[in-house]
Amino acid sequence: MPSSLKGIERFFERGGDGQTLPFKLSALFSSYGYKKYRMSRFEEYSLYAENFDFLAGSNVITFGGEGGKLLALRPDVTLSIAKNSKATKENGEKVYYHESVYRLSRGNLGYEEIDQMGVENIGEVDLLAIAEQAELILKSLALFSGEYSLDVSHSGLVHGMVSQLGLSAEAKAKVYECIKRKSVHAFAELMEREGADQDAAAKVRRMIELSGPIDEVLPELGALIMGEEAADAYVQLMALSHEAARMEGGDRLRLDLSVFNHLDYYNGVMFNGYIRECPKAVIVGGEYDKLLEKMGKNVQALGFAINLGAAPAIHRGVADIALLYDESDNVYEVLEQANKLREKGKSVIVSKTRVPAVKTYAYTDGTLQEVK
Amino acid sequence: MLNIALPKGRLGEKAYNLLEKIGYKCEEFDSGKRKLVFTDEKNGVSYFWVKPSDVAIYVERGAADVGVVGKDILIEQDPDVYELEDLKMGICRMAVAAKKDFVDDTDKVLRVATKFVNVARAYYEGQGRQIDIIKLNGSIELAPILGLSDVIVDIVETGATLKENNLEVKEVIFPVSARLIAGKAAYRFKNEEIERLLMQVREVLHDKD
Repeated sequence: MPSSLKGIERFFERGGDGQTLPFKLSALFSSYGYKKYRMSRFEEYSLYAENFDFLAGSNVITFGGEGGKLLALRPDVTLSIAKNSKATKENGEKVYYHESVYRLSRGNLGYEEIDQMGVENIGEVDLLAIAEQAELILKSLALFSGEYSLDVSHSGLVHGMVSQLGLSAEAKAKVYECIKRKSVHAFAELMEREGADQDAAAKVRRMIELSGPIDEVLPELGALIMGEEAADAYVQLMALSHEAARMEGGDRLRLDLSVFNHLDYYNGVMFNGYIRECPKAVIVGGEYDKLLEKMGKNVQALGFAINLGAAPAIHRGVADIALLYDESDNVYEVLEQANKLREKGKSVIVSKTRVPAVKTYAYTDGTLQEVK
Repeated sequence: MLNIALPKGRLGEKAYNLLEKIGYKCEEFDSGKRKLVFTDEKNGVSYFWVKPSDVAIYVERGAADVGVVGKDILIEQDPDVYELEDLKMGICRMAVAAKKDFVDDTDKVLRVATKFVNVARAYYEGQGRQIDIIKLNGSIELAPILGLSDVIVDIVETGATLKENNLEVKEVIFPVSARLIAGKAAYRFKNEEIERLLMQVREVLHDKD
């Protein structure tokens, strides 16, 4: 391989122009034996209409198809994969996808196309499956950024603890809202209004506040646990924490019960992955057996979706270096100088006139001089 | 460095006074509002003056780590942020107001003038009432006076403006006060700084109580 082409590999290693992330993620998922799943851009609308809750109220773009069928531009990939899955508990399926999904943006500011990758593991969800999923998410996050954190929660824990408050469905919904927003003040007011058991309320209140490295937070959480459902979930989190301690990046695993993704569907661990460069979670996932159950399939499922649009722009839209030349310069030498810089993984634009670049050098008499 | 978005106006100044008291002083702070960004390296804080209705957007999108915003705006915009504390300042009410002699004809679609479209929609949906929302951006009180609407949904502090215009509060929808909010990624990557600020704010609020 010509040495300057090796520079391209270095350029990619630095993040390239942001287009390399899907390739790296594909390689990561393939290395775990996940098979690429490709699907049609369209799906029958009935699939989404039947599972509207799962889409969390996302509006769907529909249009008339052949034979009067109502079709939709896919707002979600998991639903299609779950519908078409032939997995059983004994013969599971591990797939990944890279697709566009179409949703109404927040604030109804029109539809947006979201570049999404994701992983689905359908079959049996045991500790190994959960630990592998956490490991895959940690590795995926590390491909995004040097500063990342993976927050974990458990729907059984949240649900189990809240059910101990003995509240109406309406009041419970308000409690979930307080947990999601980390609003202990609103929770305290609500408990006072509802006349909830003070001891139980104090425990849930502390649960809302807890946030930090999973191994540090779990012991305190353990002292708050009420009821069997929460206790079972706690055991699962303990086991995950134990496994994570031995994983690369396992120290980035945090426990935060405000992480929840539709409690109606997620029934086990829930994950949200964050990177410093993006204000929202770039990875969202968890165990979603209820969706499969609703589809009449006796299997469990675990998965996560990655919002690729959140990848930080490592490439700044301009070349790293502009190399200026004039007509008197030797063409071979100019090209050679540019290639030497490319070997170092830099992007180099050769130009006669000044163009936008991070740094500009002039090639004069065989040497490079920086132009300020 | 903690980036804090403050709402321009009296509420922002009150919030700054509270933060200054607990160690987040900014030497060059100026409530004259011509300058929009104030930084104090020593105290590790940077303040932005932002339009009150934009504070939550700055925090949600990560331009600011924390912010101070009214509950009215949080309910209207439903931003994806943490609402960490009720600062118990900027206290007012979200209310339905109308002319003093207004009698609601439940047989008709109610015309509602408001800046808070989502609040009004949710409130009347909860009552099963059909309404015609008239979105206004200011001087909401004028709408019922000129016959543009039957009622208004707006924040009411003392009720003086309503009284001067022969209007009165008919129903209170929810109480409003300023909240301390934090961005979700900021809460993770600046956790210690945000928790420290929150703890100190709570101490001051507790002392006040």
